[in-house]
Amino acid sequence: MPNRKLVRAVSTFSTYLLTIFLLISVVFILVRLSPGDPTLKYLSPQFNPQLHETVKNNYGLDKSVGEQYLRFLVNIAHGNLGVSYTYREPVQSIILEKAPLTLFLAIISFVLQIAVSVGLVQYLHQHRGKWLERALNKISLIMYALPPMVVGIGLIFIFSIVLKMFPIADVVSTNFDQLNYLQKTFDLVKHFTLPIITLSLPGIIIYYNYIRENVVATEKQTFVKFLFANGFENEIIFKKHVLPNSINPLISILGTELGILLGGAIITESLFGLPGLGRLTVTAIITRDYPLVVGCVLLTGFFVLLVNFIADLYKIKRDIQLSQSINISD
Amino acid sequence: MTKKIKIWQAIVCCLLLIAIVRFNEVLISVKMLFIFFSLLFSDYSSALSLIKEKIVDQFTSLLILPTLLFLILILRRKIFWLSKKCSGSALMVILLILLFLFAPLLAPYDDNLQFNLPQAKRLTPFSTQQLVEKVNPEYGNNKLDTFHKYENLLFREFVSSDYYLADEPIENVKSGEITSAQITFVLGTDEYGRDILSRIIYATRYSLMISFFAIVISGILGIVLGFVSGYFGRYTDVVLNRIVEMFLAIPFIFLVILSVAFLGDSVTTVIIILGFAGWMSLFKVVRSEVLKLKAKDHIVTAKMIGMSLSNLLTKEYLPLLLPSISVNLVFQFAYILVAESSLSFLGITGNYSHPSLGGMIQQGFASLSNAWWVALFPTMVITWIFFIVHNAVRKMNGSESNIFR
Repeated sequence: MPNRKLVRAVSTFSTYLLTIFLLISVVFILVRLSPGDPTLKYLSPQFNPQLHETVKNNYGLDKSVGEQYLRFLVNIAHGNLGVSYTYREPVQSIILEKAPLTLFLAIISFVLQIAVSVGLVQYLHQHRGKWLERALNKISLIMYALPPMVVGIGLIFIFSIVLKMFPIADVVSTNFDQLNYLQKTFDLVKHFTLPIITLSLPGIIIYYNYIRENVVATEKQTFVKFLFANGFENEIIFKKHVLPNSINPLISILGTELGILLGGAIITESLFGLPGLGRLTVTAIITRDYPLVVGCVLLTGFFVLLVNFIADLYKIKRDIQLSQSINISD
Repeated sequence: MTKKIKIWQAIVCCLLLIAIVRFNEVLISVKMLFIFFSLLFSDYSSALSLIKEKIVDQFTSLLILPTLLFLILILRRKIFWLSKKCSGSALMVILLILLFLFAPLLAPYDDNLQFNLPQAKRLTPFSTQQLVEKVNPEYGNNKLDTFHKYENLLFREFVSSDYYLADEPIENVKSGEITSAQITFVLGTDEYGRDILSRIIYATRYSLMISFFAIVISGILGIVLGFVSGYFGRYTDVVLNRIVEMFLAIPFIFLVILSVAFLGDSVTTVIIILGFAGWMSLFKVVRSEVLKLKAKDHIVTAKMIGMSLSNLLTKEYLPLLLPSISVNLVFQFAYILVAESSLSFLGITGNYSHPSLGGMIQQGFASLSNAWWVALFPTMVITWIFFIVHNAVRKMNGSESNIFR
């Protein structure tokens, strides 16, 4: 049945549409609940009341709440997120300027997390029961308990302040323009090493533990014993059968993980002084730049929802393939 | 040797240790309490005017100390877990709870007391200074004045010519008027000359309090809504489930940041926001458990007898749900603690009257290159609490489960 895939995809899509709608509504309710008169941001109360009325009229604040809500929805649908108080520029252009850095950080550390944790599991499988594996398991249990903030501060203290190996903050050095290409690359790598480690280390440990537990659980299943009894080599069984089975469940948490990464980017960017989306959000809150806060949160929320949606589509495809293969074999 | 100590023995030891180590402060507080009660009978209105947040705090922890001691000694045979063997992680939990209860007794100084800066700025851990203190002759002999004298002894909020630090001991001490004593700052001082040990004790307590109340809110929300969803099924179930899935799709930290930005950053708001942001995972747990339990015989019987809904929840379901709920809540506790300290680290929240762990880390991070100890100790405390929680959950579960919500 080719339509089954489509039906499930459409139903998932409608759920996500509803979620976006809910997100926007929550934002609207919060904006309405916030105390204070928003027009006071633009003019002093000592000005004449006529001007006050004009500003209110311009922003549509004299209309009913329902009308304001509709206007909010229409504006967001048009990609119009308002004008930032501090930058005096449209919010969407500011965000688009800052977003690439955060996305770059998130994607790099996501790839790194998967690659390093799978590699570690694979490498340590050959050394099962030896001191290296036991030591790493103990370390991972301790590191499990470390919040990203603590990891970042520790790394900065050890590598930037005591050992002076990496710079403390910023994206590039001050003399970046005078360097040649090789030095420029080296400079960038130097600046991004610590932030990426900070962002990806907690995830690496979680994935390592998760995959390891899955491997242990999979190895107890009968098909592995069957393969072993058939005379396959241990290495081949592990690489071709156990590991793929253990990694597969990771796809379902891809969206959540991206959300955690983008949240972690807030702390990482503030720690290392990187001008990304996370730091923009924090400064926007501290300077009470409400349109910018709304824009940042909405954009991040949309992005996480998009990734969740893609992960869901993949799950649907896999589920249907699975059920079809079972039907054929029956 | 350590395996033979039981939990009640460990608690009693810790309590006695607190009473012995902080004997001076306990003694002064007892005197203050005594004066306060005698004033309450003789001069009612002036006694009531003495009540402040700090004094109430001090008196509560002072009263809890003997009460807890006697309760544990009396109940040690009746409550079964008190006579269990005390493991390392249990001891950690006990220490954390005692730190929470007896913070005013344990902290050597007020958390906002700034010593005079030339002497006290960024002192390294274990550095010593001379504390010069003038015994005030201005205080009279009546009860109110004595009370104020003791209050001044316990809760000094600023240094003056009567109370300051000096490099060397004062040579010409007139007997009874000026005393100088050597004091040690165990964890050093920060850039404003405040004792880090006192600040950490109060900050830990404050962070724990915020997370605790947030947990209470999300616990109530999660249990009630999960029960409603699982018990009634049908449309309520579908609607609540959709809402929860929508909330789970939005990252936790963004929801909190958004709410804090618009609703303000006072303590109550932060507690409510954190509580409302964290109930979704508990909802899922409770709902699935209730669905499983619904068809069990004893619950069907209870329903047939005609038990009311609230009775059914508290007497039939909750005892069976308790293990999974407690594991979830303990995890959520650590999660909220880290979220709160991250927020105050970023400067989004944390304008409280007391220090918070995240705020202390932020302050220490700014001066990381000249004073490593300011940031080190709060981070250690957060890691310690997080470690305790993970240990406790691992003990509860038998093994570690995945922590993906």
